[in-house]
Amino acid sequence: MNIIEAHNISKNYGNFTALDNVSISVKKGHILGLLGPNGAGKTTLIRIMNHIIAPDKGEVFFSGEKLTQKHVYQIGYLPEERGLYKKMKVGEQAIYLARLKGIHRNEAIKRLRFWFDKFAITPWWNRKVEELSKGMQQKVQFIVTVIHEPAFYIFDEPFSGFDPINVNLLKNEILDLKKQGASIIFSTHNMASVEELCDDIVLINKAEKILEGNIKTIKNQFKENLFQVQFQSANPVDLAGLLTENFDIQSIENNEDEYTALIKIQANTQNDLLNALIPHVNIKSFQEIFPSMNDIFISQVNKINLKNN
Amino acid sequence: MNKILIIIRREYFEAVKKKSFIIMTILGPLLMAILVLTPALLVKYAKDDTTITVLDESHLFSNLNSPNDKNIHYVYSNKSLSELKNDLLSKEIKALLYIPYNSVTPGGMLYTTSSLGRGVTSNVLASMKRNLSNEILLNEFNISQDSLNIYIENQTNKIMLGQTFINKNGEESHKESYHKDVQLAIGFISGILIYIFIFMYCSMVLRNVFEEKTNRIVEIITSSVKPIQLMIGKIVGVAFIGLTQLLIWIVSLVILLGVVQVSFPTVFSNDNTNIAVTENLPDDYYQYKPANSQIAEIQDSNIMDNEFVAALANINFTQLILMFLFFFITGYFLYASLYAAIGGAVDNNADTQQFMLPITLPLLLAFIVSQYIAENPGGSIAFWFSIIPLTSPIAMLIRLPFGIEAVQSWEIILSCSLMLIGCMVAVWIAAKIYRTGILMYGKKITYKDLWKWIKYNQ
Repeated sequence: MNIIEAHNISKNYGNFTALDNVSISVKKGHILGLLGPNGAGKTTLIRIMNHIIAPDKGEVFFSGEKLTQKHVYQIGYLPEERGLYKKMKVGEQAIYLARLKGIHRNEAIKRLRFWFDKFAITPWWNRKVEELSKGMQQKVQFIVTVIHEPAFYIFDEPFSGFDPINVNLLKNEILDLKKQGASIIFSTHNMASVEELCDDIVLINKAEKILEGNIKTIKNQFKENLFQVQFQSANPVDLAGLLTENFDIQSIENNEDEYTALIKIQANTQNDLLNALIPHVNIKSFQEIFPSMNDIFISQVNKINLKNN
Repeated sequence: MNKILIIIRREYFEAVKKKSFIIMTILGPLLMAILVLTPALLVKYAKDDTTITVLDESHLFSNLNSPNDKNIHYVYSNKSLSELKNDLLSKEIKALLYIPYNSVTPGGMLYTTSSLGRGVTSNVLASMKRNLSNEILLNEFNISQDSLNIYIENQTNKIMLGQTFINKNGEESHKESYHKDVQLAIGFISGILIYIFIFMYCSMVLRNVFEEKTNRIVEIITSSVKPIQLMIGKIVGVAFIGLTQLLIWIVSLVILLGVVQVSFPTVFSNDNTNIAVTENLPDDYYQYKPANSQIAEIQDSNIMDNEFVAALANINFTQLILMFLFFFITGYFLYASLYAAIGGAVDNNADTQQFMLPITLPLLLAFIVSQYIAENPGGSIAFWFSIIPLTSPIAMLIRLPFGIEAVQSWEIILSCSLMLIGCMVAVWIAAKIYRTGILMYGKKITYKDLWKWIKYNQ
């Protein structure tokens, strides 16, 4: 079951094509990573799913219904370009933004008190926004994104401008939202956080979708049968002498008698590799190396760009 | 709808709570008063006082001092001319007016060591002329200049030019030309009020929209409300701020006038001063008047008052107030939405100027030609300016007080309809520019871009 589905979305700005026949869907309870270089069309797609702008072609469905203005109250959106009224008091501003999400004033105050306590910013309730640090402002922005407890969230570069401690705090909050059953679109350049948080990804480049799927499936799809072996040996080791030519040694490093080697093998021959090594060295660790999302991202984008040139 | 109300509330209360609003509300009228009064005060006090010593051998100019010219004082001296010239050289006196005895033509010589400043010579000559004519009147006709002036004024004031308007059916209606002043004043005041209101509060709309965009809060808000709701909310919110300020000014003006009237009752009653002047007239005043002139004069002042009332009564105030409110609101909405569009489109303050000019121009133009419109309220300039929506709020209000001879009913209906259409078109265009503009960052916007945004269908 998908919480949101965008079918064959196209959007042009004059001669510029922002999106060309892009379809994406978010499974209920999943976090979808929306990846792509700058100017790929991510923000346009997000704005269309938020009902801020309309597509030239294609349709968006929310919980099976055609997306309309009423659905925006079930969406929590943290835009990349985000700010607050600098001269307005923090608490009042949060109440205002909550009320625009359709929450009654008293209920808004109750929920805000909870969140302000949780993020330890209650003392700032009556201060002006311009007196707050950037990190605190980001916390306020996160709070007003989740205040109406929607079933679906869109976070556009949520970690930009956060210090490492607050990034962790936010990461845990996002995982908590998922645990409570929320579905999330997570748009970012930060590939490490994608691997940590996302279940599925969609890769967009130059207005087109070039890759999508479950993150584990994609990693398997792009895996190169690369294994990392760490071993210990008292005598100098001639690895190439020990292995047949079916094993391609990518690199080997040693720190005194501790060795780390990257070896590319034929599919499903990792046991043969171990068998070849065990008589000669003491194995410390042995693991398959999957390509990082960053590598997949860069290789896919470059492939497409080369093809087009 | 509920969302718009929340936006209006925030817009209103945030602005009203600001120190700048309170200061502006208090200082606004003060600044205005200073602006109006300073030139007058400067003219009054900038001139240095000059004392001129007079040696009058002709004995025709015994009273050169005049209450009208307070900057020049005449001091009469009995010393000889040569003594006075020495005084002038030793700087004991500043200027010397020597009037020798001359049986043919009276005249004098003004001796000075340095320039006396602008206009002193002509002022001295004027004082001499006035003094001499007073002497002549008193000696040969036995009447003072003041009495003569009052008499002449009272007689000439009775001259009146009637005007008869003949409509298509050959029906005649009378209106004294005196009405024109009242009509002019009312038209101008309403025109200027609309002009000031539109300029002050539309630039406030622009500032607030621009602030929202540069603060980057606009995308957070547009994820809960439609851009057009946000825009309308801001425009209406600022309208309420303006009305609040206007109300405060009107109420304080009424209170101020009330206080003045209670403290200085005579300031406002012209009748009392007239009577006082009449009572102080010397007896010989009436020698030159017809026997029944006193009665005539009393009637005269009544006619003046009645005429003023008649001029006011002649103006259709219900229509005028309704039209004022109509153009006040629609004019504000038309310009405010255009200003909001600009505020949403531009990315920095410097870019604002190039887009401001074309939408400010029509209003300015209407203001400049208002004089022509008032002179010829039935003419073609008046017609076209009061039909085109961008200029009609000012032009129509200047024409309206002149009544049915200047503005036909169909013109009013046409003007109002076009204004409503113009208003809707402006809001529609503005909404299109606004919704695209507010989400566009870091790009220098051209007119071509604006045109493209209008054509986008969303």
